[in-house]
Amino acid sequence: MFFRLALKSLLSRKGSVILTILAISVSVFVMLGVEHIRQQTRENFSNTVSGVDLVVGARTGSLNLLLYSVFRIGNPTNNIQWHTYEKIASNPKVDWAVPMSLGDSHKGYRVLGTTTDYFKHFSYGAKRKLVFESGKPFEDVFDVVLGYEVAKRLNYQLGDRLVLAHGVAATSFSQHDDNPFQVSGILEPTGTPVDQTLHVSLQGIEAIHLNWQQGVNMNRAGRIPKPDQATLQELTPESITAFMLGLKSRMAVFRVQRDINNYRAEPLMAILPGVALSELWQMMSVLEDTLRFVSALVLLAALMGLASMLIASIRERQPEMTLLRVIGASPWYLVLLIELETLLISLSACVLGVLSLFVILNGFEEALAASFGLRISTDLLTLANPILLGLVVGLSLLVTAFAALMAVLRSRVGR
Amino acid sequence: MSVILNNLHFFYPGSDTATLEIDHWQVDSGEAVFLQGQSGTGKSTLLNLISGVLSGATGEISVLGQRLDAMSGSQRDRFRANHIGYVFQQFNLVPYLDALDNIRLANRFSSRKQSPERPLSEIQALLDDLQLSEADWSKPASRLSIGQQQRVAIARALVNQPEVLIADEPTSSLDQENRDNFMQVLMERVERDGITLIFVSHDRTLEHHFKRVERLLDINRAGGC
Repeated sequence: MFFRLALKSLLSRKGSVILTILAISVSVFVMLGVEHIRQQTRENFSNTVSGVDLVVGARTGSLNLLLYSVFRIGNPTNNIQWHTYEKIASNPKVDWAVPMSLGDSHKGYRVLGTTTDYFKHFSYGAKRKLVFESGKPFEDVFDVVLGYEVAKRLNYQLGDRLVLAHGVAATSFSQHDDNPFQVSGILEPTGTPVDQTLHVSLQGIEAIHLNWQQGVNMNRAGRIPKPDQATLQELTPESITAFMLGLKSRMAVFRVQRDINNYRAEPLMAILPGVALSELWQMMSVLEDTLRFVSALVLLAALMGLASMLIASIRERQPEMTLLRVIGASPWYLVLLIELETLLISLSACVLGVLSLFVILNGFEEALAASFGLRISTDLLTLANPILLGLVVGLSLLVTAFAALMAVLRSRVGR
Repeated sequence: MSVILNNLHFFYPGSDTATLEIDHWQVDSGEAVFLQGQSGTGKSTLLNLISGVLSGATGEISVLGQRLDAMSGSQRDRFRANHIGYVFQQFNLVPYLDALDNIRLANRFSSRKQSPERPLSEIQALLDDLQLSEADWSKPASRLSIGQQQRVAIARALVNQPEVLIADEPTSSLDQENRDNFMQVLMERVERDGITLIFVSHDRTLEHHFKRVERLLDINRAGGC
């Protein structure tokens, strides 16, 4: 009877109840949405690289090294000699090493010169390997493997030919147009900077820079004949930008890091990508706090809406409250009745908010991934952040308690 | 003795003139009293004190031999649900519940052992007795006519078999025909069940239904608010 009374009372005020449910569910939606995207962004961010024990580059700041080697942002300060790389890669503690050579671009997307080991060892997220959507790793000197976004945005298919540009500017005046590359593979989306990268072999990088002097192509003059394929395959770079290391035992990571940092022949620096990533995320905490603040304001607005709806309805229900008191309902009964009504309102608002967030995230999953590189999980369990939902229900019950007590006090003082 | 008032004084908070000042007044068991008074003479205040909705008066208020003025709020609530029926001029029913649910709700608040929850058939018989057709039993109260609502209100007030029935201007929003019908039904039930009735109205044309007729101005020295 108690539940029935609350339910019928709500049904009799359908209009304002539905509006209140909508208002609260919108704020639940915004709050959970912001919180979810915040968490997912953070996760995406810290999942940019995994399974790599050390990233080694020329001595610089750790953030700078992380930014240019992993995020392809900014520029390296200096290169590393190839024999330095070989020496460290042959260290018995080292399981694998993947060289990286940066500095060229294609229509604003960075080009990474590396070896096929990159596709074998590089992983992101929960140790997820790179997967080919189509094609295979580069074999030929002039093969290129495209990140998902590069292929999608620039509309490249397998077998298409493209020309790399010297330097990293979006518009470059020096194109490597005498050596076009052919698309040999396209990677699946990862939600990491890999999506925005073109991968070629180190030999490819060397080949297009053959006979270049200080950024100028000497081949144009026609003085030097084109080298044949066999010599191209034999090319070894003199220097690379950075390299990634995987160790046989993670226990050795600090020892190897210290050894590299103390390397005599050349100033080097090794960073643990996880540590550097969290340092970088710390710098973004202002953004994170702002998002949280916005969610809190939205919740506050919704609760104030709920309170005003309740206070208005209680005023209009005063005769009903007095009547219930007269036929024997205790003040507690009235408070509980109003609280139960609020509970029904806020629970259905939470369900509605979570469901619509789920539907919308599902609908926009592809759009988010394609245009923002955001991989948002649509797992309903992680979506429904129980603490936040509990907060919504708890606060609305608290706000209501005041309104309910007010109603009960009024019903006490006769008619 | 059903109701006894002794040296009753009542002030509304913040007011320095008494609303009620009654030296002595009493109603016998099974008696039906017509209390006549214009609005603003303290009628509703008096009824709210007798039913225990209002507290804070000085002096004695005894109903069925129990001192209401000595009871706690929750004791008064229980006492009211078990022993006192109440019919108002309007707002007698929860508007979104149908007639049956309204009556059942009132029944639910009563915890008296001798009147356990009454079966649906009894409630239906009660409604039938009050000339409410079956088609109207499950309509929301707000969709019933005022005359029908007041008759359901009697049923609601009687469902817990109270010893005392208080009626506060119950006929004022009814037309002549409905009023006669209401009075007839009410007086029949009260007489048959031996219920003490305190009936308050400004309408002197109803006096002929009662043996005992009093004017509130005669018993309340304060003369209202």
